[in-house]
Amino acid sequence: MRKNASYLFAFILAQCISIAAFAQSTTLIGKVKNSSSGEDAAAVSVAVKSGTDGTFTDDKGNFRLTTTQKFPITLLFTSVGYEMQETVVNSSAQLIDIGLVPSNTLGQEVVVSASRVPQRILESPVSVERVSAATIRNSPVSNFYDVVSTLKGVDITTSSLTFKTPTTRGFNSSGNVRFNQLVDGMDNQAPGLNFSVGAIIGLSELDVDNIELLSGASSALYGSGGMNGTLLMTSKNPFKYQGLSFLVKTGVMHTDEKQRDISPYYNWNLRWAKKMSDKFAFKINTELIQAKDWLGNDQRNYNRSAGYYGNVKAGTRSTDPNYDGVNVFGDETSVDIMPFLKAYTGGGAVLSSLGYDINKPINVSRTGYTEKEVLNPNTVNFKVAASLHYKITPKIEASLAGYWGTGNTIYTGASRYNIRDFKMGQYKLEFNHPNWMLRAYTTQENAGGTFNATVTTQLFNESWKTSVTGATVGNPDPQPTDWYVQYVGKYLSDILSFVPDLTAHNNARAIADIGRPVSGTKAFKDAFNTVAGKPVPIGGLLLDRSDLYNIEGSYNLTSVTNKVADIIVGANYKQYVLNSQGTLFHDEDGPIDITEIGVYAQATRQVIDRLKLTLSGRYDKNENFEGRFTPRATAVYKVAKDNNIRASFQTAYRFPHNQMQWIDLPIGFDLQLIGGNKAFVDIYQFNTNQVYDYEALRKGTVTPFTVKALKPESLSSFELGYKGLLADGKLLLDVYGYAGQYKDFLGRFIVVQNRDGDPISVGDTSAGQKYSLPINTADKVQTYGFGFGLDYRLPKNFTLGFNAASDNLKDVPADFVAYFNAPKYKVNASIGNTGFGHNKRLGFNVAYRWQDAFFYQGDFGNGNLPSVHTVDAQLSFKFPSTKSVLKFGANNLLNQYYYNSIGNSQIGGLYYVSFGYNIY
Amino acid sequence: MKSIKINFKTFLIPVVAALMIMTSCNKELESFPIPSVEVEPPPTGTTIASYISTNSNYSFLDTALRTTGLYTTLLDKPGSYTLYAPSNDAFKGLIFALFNVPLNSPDDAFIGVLKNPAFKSGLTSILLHHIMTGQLTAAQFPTTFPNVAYLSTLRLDPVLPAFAKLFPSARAPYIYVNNVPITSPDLFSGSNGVIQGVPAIVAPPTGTLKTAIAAQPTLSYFRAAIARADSGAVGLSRFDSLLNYGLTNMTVLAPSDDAFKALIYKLAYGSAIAKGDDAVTADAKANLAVAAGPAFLATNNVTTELIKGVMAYHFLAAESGEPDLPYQPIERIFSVNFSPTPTFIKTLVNNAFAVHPGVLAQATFTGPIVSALTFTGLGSLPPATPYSGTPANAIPVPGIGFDRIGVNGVYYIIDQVLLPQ
Repeated sequence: MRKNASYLFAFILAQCISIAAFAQSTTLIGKVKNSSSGEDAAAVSVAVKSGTDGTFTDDKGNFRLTTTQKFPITLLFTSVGYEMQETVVNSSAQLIDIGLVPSNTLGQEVVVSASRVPQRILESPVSVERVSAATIRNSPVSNFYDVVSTLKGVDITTSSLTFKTPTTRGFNSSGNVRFNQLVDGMDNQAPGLNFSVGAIIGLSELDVDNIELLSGASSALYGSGGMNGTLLMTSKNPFKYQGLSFLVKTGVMHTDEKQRDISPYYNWNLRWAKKMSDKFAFKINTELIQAKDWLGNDQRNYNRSAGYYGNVKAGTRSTDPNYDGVNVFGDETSVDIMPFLKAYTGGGAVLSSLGYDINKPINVSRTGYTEKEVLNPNTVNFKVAASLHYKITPKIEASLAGYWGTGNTIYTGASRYNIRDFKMGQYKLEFNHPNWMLRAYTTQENAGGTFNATVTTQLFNESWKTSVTGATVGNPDPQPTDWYVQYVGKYLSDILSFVPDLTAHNNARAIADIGRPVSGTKAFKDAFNTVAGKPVPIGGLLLDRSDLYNIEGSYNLTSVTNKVADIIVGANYKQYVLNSQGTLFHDEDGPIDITEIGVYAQATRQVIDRLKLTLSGRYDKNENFEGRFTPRATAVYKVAKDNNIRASFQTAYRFPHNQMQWIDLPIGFDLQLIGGNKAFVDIYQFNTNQVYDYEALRKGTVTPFTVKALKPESLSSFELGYKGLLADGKLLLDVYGYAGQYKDFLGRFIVVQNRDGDPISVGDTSAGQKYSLPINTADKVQTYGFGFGLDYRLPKNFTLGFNAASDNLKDVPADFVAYFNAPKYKVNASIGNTGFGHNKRLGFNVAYRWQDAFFYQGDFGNGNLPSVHTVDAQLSFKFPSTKSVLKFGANNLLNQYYYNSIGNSQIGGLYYVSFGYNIY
Repeated sequence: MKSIKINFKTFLIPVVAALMIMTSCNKELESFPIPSVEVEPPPTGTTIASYISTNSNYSFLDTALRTTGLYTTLLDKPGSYTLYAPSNDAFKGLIFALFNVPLNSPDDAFIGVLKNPAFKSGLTSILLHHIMTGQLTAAQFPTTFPNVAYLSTLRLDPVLPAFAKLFPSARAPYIYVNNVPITSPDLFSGSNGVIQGVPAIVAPPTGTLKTAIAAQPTLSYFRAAIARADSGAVGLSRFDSLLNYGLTNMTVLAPSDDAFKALIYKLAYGSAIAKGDDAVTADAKANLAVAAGPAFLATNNVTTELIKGVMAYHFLAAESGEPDLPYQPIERIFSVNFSPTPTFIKTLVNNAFAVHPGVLAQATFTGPIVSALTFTGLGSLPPATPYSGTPANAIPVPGIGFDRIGVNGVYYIIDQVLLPQ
């Protein structure tokens, strides 16, 4: 794969060198300004009408266009936000001076993601949202990625300041595997960790050209995974956007000192792009974010033994001996002390006489540490990206790009993960032609010092005092130095002395905790880091060096087939190389390859004057699963000019992700988390040593379990929508409704096996080997929802925005945990102005978001989430001569801490001042 | 549930060494009267300590409780206890045994001992062993076997919750604590417990069976046999570890030195005859083997397997329910728990030979007390028809019966080595 790519590159270089022919040409020079504010208009398209030659204005509004056309030449000036303008040029001596009139019309944006061809957003056949650079400029958000949360129908899960995961139409979680994120066409999922890294690696704020969000199913275009949407982030082309820009944000967080001391927030951006000639341009971007992160500070008690049905419950460390705080770690270790009590009392008769039920367990948890004590919540995110662009011909642009990032942040999966010195690079070679595209890229991941907070803290507790010595299966050999032995020692002697039970528990804890390292001390840090530095399962470190290689191309056959239909075809080849050195995957004998191929085709036809139909289909084959065909059919009916009704039927699916295929990780003493690859049947001898339903066995029923081949999870969905311009083009209305059915949900199931191959017995629920293996559940669930959005342009540059959405789950089977995680209702409202006051230099925006309370279900924890209200605001002042902007911004202005998933960081107010130079 | 195995090696046994020579107390044990008079229900609301002060039959106990402070620190406080109250005669027997104060001495002589500060620590341990956590009226004494363990307030380790166990049991028509009959049942029921009167001191354990056996001058062969049987074995599978393993309840038959000498003589004699020696030579060789002392058991004249098999036969066992080790030494069988009719009891040999019938045991009762206890092995030397050999007799502790109590069980010294085949 890598070799192939390098051959390809050599071939392309040879092509570049051989191109040398030039025709007689004319050069036109000019400048474009904003006729209203007088500021230079950058990145305005300047094209020769009825020709192919064109360029863009630079950051000073200047352009220089070379053409072989004869005078008089008609030039066409277009740019989003301005009305189109034509000018006739009669001689090259003329300095072309253009004043573009800002337009206040809506719905003129062009989107690409909805059908893989550029089209007006008004005519998109499926729901799509678009964020432009201008939207980000006028938004109060402190990080461009956050602007996604203001889009209609979007839910965000915030693991930490820099780790946010969006989704649409339900099923959100921190590491969302049903929502794809693409950066300049590259899947930015960390291949081994199975989560999209969002904005941690990838674009920086100054380089964002646009963000498009496809809501709901999108596998038919983008392949496995996009069941709940696809986010496409596109950077600025250096041919179009030139110049040196910088943006410095400095802010404060924790102003109420509720979580930690008041602390600064820094976000520095630099972008430099230059067009060296009509053929060659380059750009460099870098961004640094540094802050003291929000803390996961939920110390409510959690009922972990209920597994998938766990929930927060009453109790604190001093009132519940088995307390397990949500954001408290190490207290997940829980042991039933009743066997000890029985052993020390010769069977427990004395306990019965004291009123204890000796057939009931008394679970006691180890003393934990709060998240603040064990995780390093100092967020650092540094990213750098550079690209070289070369126009082999005026129509073929080659680009070589690299995106690299590193950082520390916190992520919530089955535990809280402290992502430390995480590094990920993406490198891409791409060729673009109006009719075709060829792209090859690789993702190189290194999890660095990333560790699992739960496992690390549990093992740290073991390192300073063993819970129960020799607690390998079936053969505990408790010692007086053990934490639980000391606990039981004090507890039992106290209750035999008629000390009240809870006091006895707390006295016992105090005795067992003698020698407990105090957080913050050097001894604590050294010991903790030792455990965090050892790989799972002897420590908490995630060793992961997994990579992804991908090559894809598409061709637009329309020029040949346009009499019948507009046809696009494409294909891709993807290879994951899983490499955890045996610590996460079953790869102790070397990296594991997983190969996927996909092909797709799309045909669009204007059936009658007002009706456009599109059929798309995509076939994907993963080497470990049967091939999957996903069709999509869409229709757009034009009710009136700029008013369209859209309808679509889509299917989507996802192959089980890499961890679900190949993970091989011991959890605790007797549970092995394994993947669904059929290789595990032989590895753990399921054919010769039958496995049984663990939960059934626990209840006394022997139910053999047959390991079935995993299938991809799939969704079929129907959507109806309307988008149109009303009120003389001042009001943009978008409405949609959808219904979907999910089947073959991927989940996990616990089975048990006798260790010696003997017939299974109830005793094996404690002595047997347990496996958690992935399965497809037989249950089907239905989702439905709707949403609408209004954008209204008022006079004097005032804008109003409002959107609301509702997502619902129905037909949920009893006891089925769907992880739907969407509030029933959510609302965004905003009011802003892009130019008022002195010379229209002032701008402001106030945005309000509300989401309903709901019951959150996640691998880390379940619980009720209160409703969330937030207000963000910004006030800005422009300096047109340097295109500089001074902005005062506030995120969560009222500093009302909120969280949007159980165990995640609680987000407070962030207040900043930013200064941007050459912002356009 | 897997059993929790806790090694008692590190336990400290604070019971005074003087208790190890608790012999010859309670002469009257064999002839005490069985109560036939209903005891008046005592007034409630008062503590068991204050009741003891009112009953002149227990004035020595009252003195002892006050001297040691247990009156105020324990028995006059809220709680839930069963006090096994030794009568004044019981204390006299104890003091006679420990300090040789004649039983017919005036009361002041005994009270003087009880008030002697040098005896305070030992007396405290003895008293704590008579105070059981949890209340049991006579009707509530468990009838089940194995005996149900309760805890006395005598703590055996300063860190770990190791308390000396007590085994209240009902064997119609009698009720017992350990091997001591309750002669004044339900003497009192008060705000913090009940009182059961006993005619003798309930002997506290002096350590694990290992330490108890180590202190027995007549068991040097037995110790050597244990050492030989354990040679090559490691960890908890050794007999030595088992005897020191604090959390089980074992019953061990320990043949005396004389028993071993007799066996060695027979073995050596038989072996010499088999080689063709005449009776005189054989007798001389056999006497030499005996003269070698316990060290003989470490020589090549016997195999480790043989000793191991013989030792396993001396550990009484019960079904454990664990497939890996189906028979485990987990029952504490006091002399009063053996059947008056000959009954087979399994041993650790059954782990190797599941169908082995075990050891035939029989107790002879006089009233509530066992007056004779015999054990018969399956084999004998020279070989005879099974069970036709003479039974081994348990050798009594003068005055106290046959039971020799450890933290983790009971052992009996017997006058023959039992042979499993």
